[in-house]
Amino acid sequence: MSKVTFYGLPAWVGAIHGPTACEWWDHDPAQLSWDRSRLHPLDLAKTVSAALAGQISVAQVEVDDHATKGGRTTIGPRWPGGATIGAVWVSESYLQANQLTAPSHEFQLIQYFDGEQQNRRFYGFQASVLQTQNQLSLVQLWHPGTGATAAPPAGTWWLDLSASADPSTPPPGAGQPAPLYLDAKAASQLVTVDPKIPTYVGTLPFPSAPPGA
Amino acid sequence: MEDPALLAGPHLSVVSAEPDGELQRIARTIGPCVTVNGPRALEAALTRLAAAADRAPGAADRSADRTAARTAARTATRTLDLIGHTRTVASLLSLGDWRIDAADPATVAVFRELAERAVLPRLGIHALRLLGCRSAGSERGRDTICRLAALLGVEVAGTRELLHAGNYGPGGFRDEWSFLLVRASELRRPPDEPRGPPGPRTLELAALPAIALAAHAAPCPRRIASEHATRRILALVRRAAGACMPGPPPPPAIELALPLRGGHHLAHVVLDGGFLRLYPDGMARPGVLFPVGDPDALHRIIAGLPAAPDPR
Repeated sequence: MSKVTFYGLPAWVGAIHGPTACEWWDHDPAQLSWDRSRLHPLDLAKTVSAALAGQISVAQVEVDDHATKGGRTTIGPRWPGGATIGAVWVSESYLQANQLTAPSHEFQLIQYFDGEQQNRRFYGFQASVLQTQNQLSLVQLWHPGTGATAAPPAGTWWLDLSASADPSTPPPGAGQPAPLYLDAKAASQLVTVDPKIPTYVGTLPFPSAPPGA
Repeated sequence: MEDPALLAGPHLSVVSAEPDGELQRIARTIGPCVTVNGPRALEAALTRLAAAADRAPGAADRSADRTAARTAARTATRTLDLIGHTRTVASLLSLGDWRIDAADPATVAVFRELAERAVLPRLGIHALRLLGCRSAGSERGRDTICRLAALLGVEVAGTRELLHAGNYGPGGFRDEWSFLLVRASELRRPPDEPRGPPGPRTLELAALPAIALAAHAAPCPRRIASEHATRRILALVRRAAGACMPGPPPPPAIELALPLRGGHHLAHVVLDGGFLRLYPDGMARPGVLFPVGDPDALHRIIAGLPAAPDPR
């Protein structure tokens, strides 16, 4: 079973080498003295949808699709014309190869490519299970990116976590806010906004249909 | 240009007719396209093409125009792309000397006429795209996009970016550049609309709305509860743990008519009696699930309730 975890990071594009090839900083370059040695090379064509279409292997995936294609990346997706400041959701292997720091679970998503969970994706949330009844759990969710702040929860719902939560990560215990990875379809019915990356950007609508849907 | 060639692809491209090298380059790149210099020429071209589409094999009977238009709209697969420069500080798209400005009554009249004659559905058009630099870059431009969407009943898109010949290929505006477009449905969407209260809902009996039993067809057997039985049923409910459940609502096994002051409220027994679904916001809104502490006790109470006559 192939699965890839993606991490949402702020991105400032510092060089463009082709329609989808660029280099980017993960911090405001003004605070890095425009240090070009800290740029990370990236090809925005090496996406989830490209792997699902068989154009690249899963191991070659570097980045989630652009927001206009159901993903969460907001730089690019092509130049000229594409955005140069925004969010880039990079794969775990890319994160490690570029020695980037993993953000918290609210800035993570898990994409499956084959097996029982084929082409399902799960978004990381801060959640609290208040009580359970039969197979349902009363779950309080925070909008992604707001769980560690003083923001109120986005809402409270009865959810069947056995059907809508990522089977490879443990569900939260009762009472304490903890990570919960929710199926994209269920999540899109619950929350309305995507994380603010970089923090100073306005909020974007939560993806309504993931890549390949 | 032959009509079948214009309607062969997913985009019907209409380019502003003016002596401009960039627009002419775009028209050459696209191939089959229409050139117009104003509203009359646009109306004439679209009317002629719609007539050709009506005559095409498989087209619906003209005698049932409205029904045919609705049917066509359901199967619409084509965009109408108006391609030109934007002019004025408001970045309004121009075709010849005509500025497409929804604040202009004459422009509104042109598009209303197209809507009334169902020209776009007959052409299989599901979206209108105003393809000029920053056509969605001003308040007035975005207002035009939203007003045209409301008028025509289709998605309308513009862009906040610069467009150029490189964004086009044979057949029209290339799909890989569609990320540059912003749509009326996005512009109109209210930001950050909460989807539910932050915490669980509490069941307040006095706030439950009365529901006319005759006006609501029960989707399952209905039982009429007495006031005494209602008190016993509601005593089983965890009243501070109400919440909605996303997705299709679980089907009810039993519908309970609970007497309230001057009427009844309906409650659905769902998920093997583990939950009662009540409708504190009315039957038109999603029901709220409240867990039942003792489902067996609930089933015993229900077994003693009289069945309601089938209203059907």
